[in-house]
Amino acid sequence: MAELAGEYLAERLSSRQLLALLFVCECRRKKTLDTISFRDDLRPPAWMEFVDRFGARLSRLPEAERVYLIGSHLQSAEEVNLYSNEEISSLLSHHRELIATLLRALELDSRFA
Amino acid sequence: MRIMFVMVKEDYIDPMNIELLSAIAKGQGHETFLNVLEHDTLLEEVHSIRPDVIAYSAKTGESNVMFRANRAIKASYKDSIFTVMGGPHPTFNYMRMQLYGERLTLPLTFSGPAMPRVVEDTYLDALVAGEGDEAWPSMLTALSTGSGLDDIPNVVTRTNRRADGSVSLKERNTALDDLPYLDRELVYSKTRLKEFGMRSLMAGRGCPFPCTYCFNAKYNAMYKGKGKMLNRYSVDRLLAEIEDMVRRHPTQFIKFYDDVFVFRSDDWLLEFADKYPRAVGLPFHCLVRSDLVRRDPEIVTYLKKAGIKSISMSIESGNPFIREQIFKRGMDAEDIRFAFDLCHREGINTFSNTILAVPVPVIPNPGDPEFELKAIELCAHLESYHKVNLGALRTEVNLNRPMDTKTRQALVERLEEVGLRRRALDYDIESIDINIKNKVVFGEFPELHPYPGTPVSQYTIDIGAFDGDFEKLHQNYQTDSPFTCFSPQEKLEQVNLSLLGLVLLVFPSWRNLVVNHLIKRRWTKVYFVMYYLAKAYLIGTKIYPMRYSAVHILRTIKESFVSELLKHSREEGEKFYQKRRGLSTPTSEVLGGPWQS
Repeated sequence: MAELAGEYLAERLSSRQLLALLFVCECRRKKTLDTISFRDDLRPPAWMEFVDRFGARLSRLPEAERVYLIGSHLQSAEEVNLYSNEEISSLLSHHRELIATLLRALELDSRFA
Repeated sequence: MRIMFVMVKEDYIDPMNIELLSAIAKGQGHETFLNVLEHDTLLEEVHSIRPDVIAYSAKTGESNVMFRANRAIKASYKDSIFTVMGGPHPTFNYMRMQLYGERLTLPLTFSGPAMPRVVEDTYLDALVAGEGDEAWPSMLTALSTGSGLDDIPNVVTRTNRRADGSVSLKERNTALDDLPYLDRELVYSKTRLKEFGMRSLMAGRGCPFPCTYCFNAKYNAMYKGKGKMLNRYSVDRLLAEIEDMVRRHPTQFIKFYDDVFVFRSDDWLLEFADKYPRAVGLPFHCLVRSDLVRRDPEIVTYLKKAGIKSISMSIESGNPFIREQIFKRGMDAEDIRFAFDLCHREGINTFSNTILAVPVPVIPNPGDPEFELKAIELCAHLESYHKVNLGALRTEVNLNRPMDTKTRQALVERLEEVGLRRRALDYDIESIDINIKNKVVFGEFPELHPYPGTPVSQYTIDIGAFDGDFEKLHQNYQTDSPFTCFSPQEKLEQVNLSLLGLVLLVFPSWRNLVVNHLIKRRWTKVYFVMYYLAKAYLIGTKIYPMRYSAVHILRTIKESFVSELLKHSREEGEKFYQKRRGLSTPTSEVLGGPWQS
């Protein structure tokens, strides 16, 4: 799995950044992105369910394997081309605020430490 | 040109690789032929057909049989017949496969997980790495016009071989709709598949998941940055081929053979669910992943709407440590429970693969006088190799300070939380239990065998359970485990459990009798018959149900029993291959090629 290191933008993202991106893509696919709100410290149910699901899968894996696994989901279920810097860059900038919020939530969650 | 494909033996699954290459060749105006080593006389057929090209598509293991066949051909026909091999074996081993007239030195940089540094003397003229159907048309054009092959991507010849062991690969094919329909006539004209009601095909290509026993992670690394990883036929193109196939060949059941048939309930699946019942309307089988079903349960809803009869969802292990740390499956027990429960509620029969006899450390006995020493070694291995965080308890594991009973017990409990167990067999029983608990309808329980080049093989070498000698491995996964960490009695119990596991899916109430008593007995032959009967019943009635005449059923039972027997007996398998005419030396079914010093 060492091959995932270097020339592509996606390879420089942490597992938490990729997980946030995966959530955004999942919501986009389900057309629920507009309903996701973190105002007043509330946690949207879709986000809680998402982190519970991935927390169980990821909590015991080292960082490199988390990155690989989340990348697998991005490439398959969300049809994101991890080897297109343009696509990844566009996703990150388009959803910058939400991704930053999700990252703060993940940093406080010990399962994703 | 006249092109002859050679395959080792028949199966109940279409050899789609050969069928596609034949279709492409015919599209260019060439004639194609098939030789099945299992029942055809190779040299006599070569003599009568006089092919210009002989082509093989090889998996590791059967590659050895094909090398012997090819050496026999080249000994007689030398340069007058061009021979080429593609498929998984050359894709991952081309750098150590010596070609006809070549003196190969292994590149210094050649390395990889559990790769034998041994030259295979193939007598082939060329190899194809990666997507063979991409190189095939250019190759045939070059051969028929007499131009060189050296500049064709994916092709390795003795004159274009690179010193660093790399190969140039064409981008992945993303336009599958442009491929011709599979040439099933070539295969059906010489095999029992003509009479068989189940037809196999694939809706797409690619899998992004990192399962350590599979080639896909390595394949994806080879193709990194070379186009979209997952590619599918359009629904209309796929259905048009199935309709054409059903018109030409009696068909009762469709098996989609994709690594993963669908990843989500996208527009493709909705369209498939809408059109397949009207266009085809036959029951079908496909494979999905439990974690994807849990993420997106509508996958099952739409497959049901399309008319699915049975579904594969591999569990691979009931033990969380094996599933997560060794196989890197990336799914938990809740994913598995959710997906199987959903399929049962929808009336879809389930099929699962679960791998037994995986070398995993066991927890030392708290009463063992060497407990501290063993615990230190185990904790160091877990932390350094698997990156397991043992938390505060790690500081308690110290040789200089004997542990009291309470501390030993706390450490044992922590190790159990991680997923470790006290006996090797406990892992296998846990795997059987998860199948019973989730009411899996049909399951296979092969024992782990290390394939050259896979990460899990490297793991077994790293922990000292396997010496790297792939020559001694048998292709059947229900014989004695090759791992040195298991005692003879444990190996016996693993074989018995791999056979009786399926029986337990039919009679789950026998669970305690089997795991506490029957697996300890040397009654493996009896268990094989029980396994065969359970398999025949479940496959024939639940997984791939089809209707046949009484004569056909009797013939199928005889053929499938012999096939299973050959697969399960090393001795019978070797006798079988020694009977094959046209092969100058006896062959055996082994993985990975001869192990030479």
